Amino acid sequence: MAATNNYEPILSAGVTGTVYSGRSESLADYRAKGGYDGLKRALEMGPDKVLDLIKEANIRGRGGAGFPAGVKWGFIPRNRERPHYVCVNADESEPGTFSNRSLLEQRPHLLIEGALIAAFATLSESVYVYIRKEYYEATRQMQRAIDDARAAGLIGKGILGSDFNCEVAIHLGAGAYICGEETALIESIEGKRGYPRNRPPFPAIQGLYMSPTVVNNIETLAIAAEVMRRGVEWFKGIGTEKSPGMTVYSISGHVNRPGNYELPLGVTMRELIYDYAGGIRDGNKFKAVFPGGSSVPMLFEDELDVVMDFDSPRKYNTFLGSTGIIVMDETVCFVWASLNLMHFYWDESCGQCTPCREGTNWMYKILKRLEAGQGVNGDVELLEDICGNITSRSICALGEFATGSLVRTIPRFRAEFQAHIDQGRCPFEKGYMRFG
Amino acid sequence: MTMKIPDPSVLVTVTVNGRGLMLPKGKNLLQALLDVGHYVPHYCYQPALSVAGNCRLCLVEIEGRPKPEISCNMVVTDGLKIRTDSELIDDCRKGMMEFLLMNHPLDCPICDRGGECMLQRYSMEYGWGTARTVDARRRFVKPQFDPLIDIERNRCIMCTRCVRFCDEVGNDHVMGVFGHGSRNYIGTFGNGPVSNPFSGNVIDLCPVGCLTSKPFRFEARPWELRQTLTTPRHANGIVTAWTRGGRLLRVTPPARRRHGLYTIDEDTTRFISNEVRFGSLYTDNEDRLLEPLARGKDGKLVKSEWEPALDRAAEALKACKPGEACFIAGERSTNEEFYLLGRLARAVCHTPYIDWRGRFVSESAAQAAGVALSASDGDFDLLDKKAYQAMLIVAAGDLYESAPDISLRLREGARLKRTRLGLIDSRVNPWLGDLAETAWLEQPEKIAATLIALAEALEKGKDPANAPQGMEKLFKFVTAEHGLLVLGLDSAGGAIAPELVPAALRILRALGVGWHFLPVTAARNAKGGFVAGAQSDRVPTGRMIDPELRVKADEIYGSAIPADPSPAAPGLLEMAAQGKFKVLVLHRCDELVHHPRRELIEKAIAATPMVIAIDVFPSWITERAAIVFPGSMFMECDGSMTDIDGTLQRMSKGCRVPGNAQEEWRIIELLGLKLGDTRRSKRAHEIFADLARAWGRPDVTLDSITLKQPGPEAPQGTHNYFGVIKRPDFKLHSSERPELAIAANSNATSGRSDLLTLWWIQHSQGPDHLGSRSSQFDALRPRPRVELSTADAARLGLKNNDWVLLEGGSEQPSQVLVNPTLAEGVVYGAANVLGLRLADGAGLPHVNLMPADAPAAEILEQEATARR
Amino acid sequence: MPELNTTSALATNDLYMRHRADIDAIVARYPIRQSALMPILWLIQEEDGWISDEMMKQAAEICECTPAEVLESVSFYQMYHREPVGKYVLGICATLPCALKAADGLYAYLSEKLGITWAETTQDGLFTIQRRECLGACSEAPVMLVNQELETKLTREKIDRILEECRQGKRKPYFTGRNGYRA
Repeated sequence: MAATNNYEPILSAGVTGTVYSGRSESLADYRAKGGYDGLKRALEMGPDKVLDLIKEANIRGRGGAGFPAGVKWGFIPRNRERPHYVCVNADESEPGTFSNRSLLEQRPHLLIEGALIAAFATLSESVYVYIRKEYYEATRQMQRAIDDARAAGLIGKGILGSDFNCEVAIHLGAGAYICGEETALIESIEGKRGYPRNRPPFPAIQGLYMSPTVVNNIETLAIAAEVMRRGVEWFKGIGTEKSPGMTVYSISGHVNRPGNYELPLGVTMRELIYDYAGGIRDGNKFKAVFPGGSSVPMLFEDELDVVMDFDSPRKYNTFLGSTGIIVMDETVCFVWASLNLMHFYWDESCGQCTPCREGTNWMYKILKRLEAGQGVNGDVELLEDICGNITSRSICALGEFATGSLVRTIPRFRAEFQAHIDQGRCPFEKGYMRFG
Repeated sequence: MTMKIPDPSVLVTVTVNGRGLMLPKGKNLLQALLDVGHYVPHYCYQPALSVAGNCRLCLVEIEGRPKPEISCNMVVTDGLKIRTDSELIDDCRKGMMEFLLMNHPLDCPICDRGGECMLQRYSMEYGWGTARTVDARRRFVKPQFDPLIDIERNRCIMCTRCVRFCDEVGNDHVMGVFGHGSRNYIGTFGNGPVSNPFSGNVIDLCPVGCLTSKPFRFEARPWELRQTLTTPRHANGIVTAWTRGGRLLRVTPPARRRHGLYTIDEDTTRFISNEVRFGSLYTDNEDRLLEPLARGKDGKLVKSEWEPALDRAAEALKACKPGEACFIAGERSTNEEFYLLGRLARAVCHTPYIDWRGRFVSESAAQAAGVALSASDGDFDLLDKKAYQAMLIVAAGDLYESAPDISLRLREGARLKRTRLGLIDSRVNPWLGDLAETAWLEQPEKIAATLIALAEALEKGKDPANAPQGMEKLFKFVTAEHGLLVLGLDSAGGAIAPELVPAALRILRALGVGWHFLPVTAARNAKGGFVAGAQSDRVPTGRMIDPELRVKADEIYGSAIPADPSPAAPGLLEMAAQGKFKVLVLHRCDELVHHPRRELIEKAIAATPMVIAIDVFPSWITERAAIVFPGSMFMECDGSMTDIDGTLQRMSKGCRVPGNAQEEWRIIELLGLKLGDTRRSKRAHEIFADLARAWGRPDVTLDSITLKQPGPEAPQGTHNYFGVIKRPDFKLHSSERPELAIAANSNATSGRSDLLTLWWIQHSQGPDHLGSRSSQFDALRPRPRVELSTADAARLGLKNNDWVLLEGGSEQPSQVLVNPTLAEGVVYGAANVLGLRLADGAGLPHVNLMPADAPAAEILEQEATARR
Repeated sequence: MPELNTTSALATNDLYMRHRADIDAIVARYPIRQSALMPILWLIQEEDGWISDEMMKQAAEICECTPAEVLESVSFYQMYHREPVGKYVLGICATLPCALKAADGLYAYLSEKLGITWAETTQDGLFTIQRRECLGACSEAPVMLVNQELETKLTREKIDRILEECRQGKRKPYFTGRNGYRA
């Protein structure tokens, strides 16, 4: 904990609370703090040098996959045969993840600057910011920021007196989790159903409107803006060697102080839960935690000392994901929790490919029966088998995400699942259902 | 975006299950494997459609990659190592099959697809055999949907073949995937019909029993049916006709053989139009001619026996001096019928007056069409051919409505081979236009001038600087090295053909030897009429009748032929109307029944003492004939047809001719026998042999042009379902490139006035005496409709769905459709739907649009819809 | 080929004529017209509260796509309503982080109070309860969207107050409505 003790938030500097409470950073405030200096510096350097710099910084994508942003940008052809596009992924829908919300609502200019830098480096002149419709306030603040920036000559033709032209527009989603997947997001901007595409071709070659496209999470772009302003050395001085920089951990569930915590990559899960989030509520015992949104397998009591960077959680077959940490205490029934999440994945599966469409549907039906005490012997093994039949056989990762709550849980807590069948009911009290 | 077409000649080594295979580099991996007989199961992949990759059944293991990948979204690369037989792949397929069957109803016993269902087949080959699910299955409510296509959503496996077919082949996103996740379902907006002329293909494409044919519903099991590979009488192409007990039950693209059984080929690329699929079922119509009819002394047409009827006809023909009998052969006659009619007229009755070109409105139009056919050397079925660089379609965009099967082949060739497409037309059909690189919209009168302007520029050289002002794009398009020029002959009944054909021949010369020429018409066997001796100026080789060649023609018929020239069918009808003939023989003249120049035809019949008709269905023509001989229907007659590009197609007999009707070639031969001819054939094969000799290819027989059924029987244990369609390398091409100018119509290019130029076609789904006889077709019948350009509609104050009358064209009110891609000053409609009547055949007709009231029936229907 | 004058072709399109400036601005943001579909659907829903078949046809005309394509999108995205909704749409977050903080109880309370279940509308046309997946405010669980406003850390008292405010018309309704079409 020592290394992170006196860390001052960079991305979420000045951000208060998870939800908008009337304060959003204005253009003047942002510029007073050196805002848009990174863009200015980028314009002076030229696109090729900006690209090299971002590559050197090794900014790994904060959207979930951890793919280096510089490499992603580098896939874009260095010509302008077709127009290029930048899509900003602000469709934050992963259960337990709410860090983008506060950045969108309270620091919109940071994101705009990052997006403009990405557009400049990838020879693009159009940026679409894809915001989920449920983020009404974020949309309002973002739109206001875009209007202010345009009025100040930061968006449009000849930005900051250079010959760089760039338009920024918001595209609103309409309640589809799958649109957070980059190719589904692209389809959605094209006005179609949010169906993920088969790869190849990759978006960098044929993305939006069949043109080279880069899709980045907003936090990644915010970091890019900071890196342009403060330099690579500064960035690499934070975090670990392979996972440089900081991220915003969203902690929710049965902890005493849920919320967003911006920290250098490299804190442990135990520190996050006990030191930052104040430990488990009501003095209850810890049971399990989703380390990166509900789509990744859970970590259990003996695994809490894992370092929360991009690579360490892999040794437990789980991932940093979206850094949305959902903590569950001893009162939670895994069948109930899995059922809740399976409803989510069944509901949000786009239905395009067979394993995900039918697999989530089937697992949901089985879990529903289990929770209602109507399970039959063999159901638990069947669930495991279905997980295996979905994993890595679907078009996008959603199929695999749906198995997140089960793959590591069933082997360790088989008895708890089996008890639902043997007793013909859920053995838990479900105190957490008491409302009010 | 230009995509590179892989060169199929570059083969690279791919290791499949440890065995080296040579596959074409860059080709779709799944297709390449299927082509060499290495079967990989698949649902969503269809060779003619884009890759969806959603069924996940074609997963293969690839060396060096952690996950299995779908082979339909991969291309063949050198050194690729894949496994399709590993435990993992087995497990994948089992898993997918289980997922697909999880919600699939167990209703195979009442499902029409049973027996040719991919789900059944794959369940047997790759599935579990038992179900592990105890949960309730997904259920959907069954909607009304299409009048001809039945939908059972519970059976759907969401492969989206139907959606992609409508989108890509039909160019109309009329079907869609609705809903979300596992509640996804396919359908149309408001459960309306699948409104495009090829919609029936979704039935074959559906790998399960979700989309089935309503006319075929509960009629038979596929294994009870007999298959006949044949060609329709009213459209180009090959089909499989399925019969049981001599009754035609369905028509599909060529079937495929699997495990000793023929089934629908759901991977076909040879799609057929609804005109063929449902229109061919006119054989069910009981209102047909089954007995010879002869006019009695009281003037009434009564039943007769064959002998007296034939005797009377022969007597009348015998009484004719040379040149007093006239024969008009319908455009749907077989090659054999054309040959026999030509022989009967020329060698037996010694009359030069025989022709097939009744569809054209004027003599000059018919002559121009004949000239164009003589220069034809292009292909319309481009799927199996090397790609042309460019395809320029002139005045033939309307084939979509008048001959959908020809236009589908052209478009599919352009789409799948990625041929560049250019259009010059008075009406750009979005179906073709959306694919076109350049489209030039021009008034009908000026299309020929546009071609000539291009030709003049080309003659100066292919340098872009030579492009005429404003035509730079079009000029650049025609500078391609090799291409295909498609010329429509029969829009507006061929009214502009006299100018268009010489212009086309001129530009063809300027384009150079790399370009091929394909004149197209909706006339089914136009090319057959041309090559089999039923065209007034041609002998059965397709050569001009001239003094030198007469000797050869004499050899063919074994008798001298008259030396006098003969006009084409429109000219013959004019002559008949003037009372020049004693006998008029009308052989299956469907096109005359709905001809806009009905007045002329009525006069011709009235002025001729003896009219002999050979036909299948009664019509106003047979009612006025003195003698009527009942002919045969689709599937009741052997013979051959010639597609518009010269490809011979075998028409096979699959059913007995009912009642007292006869195959037409027999009727003509019997008539010849009575007149002293000696030929008497046992089978149509003998007549074809005569034709083949005339063509200089005695080795070709009627049986040898029968297509081999695609798909050899799969040897046990392997999955070789694929085969190639083989046919003799023989085309009836003439490719004369004549330098003939045709006298232009005097008033073809009249000045603009308030009148609109009428640009019309014969709609393939409108009344046309064959397809329209199918009761299945009622639901597809187009409504009376005229199209107007945006500017004209604004000028006349008309908007969509307004009712108008075509003053000077039709007495039937029709509804307006504003078409932004129609040339200004033009009104477009279908003659047979509008009931068009033309006083003469001189040039393009002009009409005046008058506002009209909606017909009473329409008002009632609207009210009924509103109540619903 | 003469350029197609789309504007004039839309002269009979009610939707376009009513929101001409907005729609033109939306269309101008994208290189293809179909991209304007989702924003135009939002325009319709803000006015009517739901998207009728007729509106889908008109949207198809504006976006130069088929009605089937519009229905594909409308039925895919779960926030587009294909049936009329109440003046106040209560979107309860029901996903795990909120469920861990008694979202099920919150729903039970609301459901009992209003006498409706998921996706139903009260008889007075005032309230619709919808099940929403994670709303991205998990630290404030349980949460609920009341039209456009996010209500956090809900309790019985807070819900009672919100419902009362809605009934008294103190909150902005879900849709603006248009004259002569729907109340």
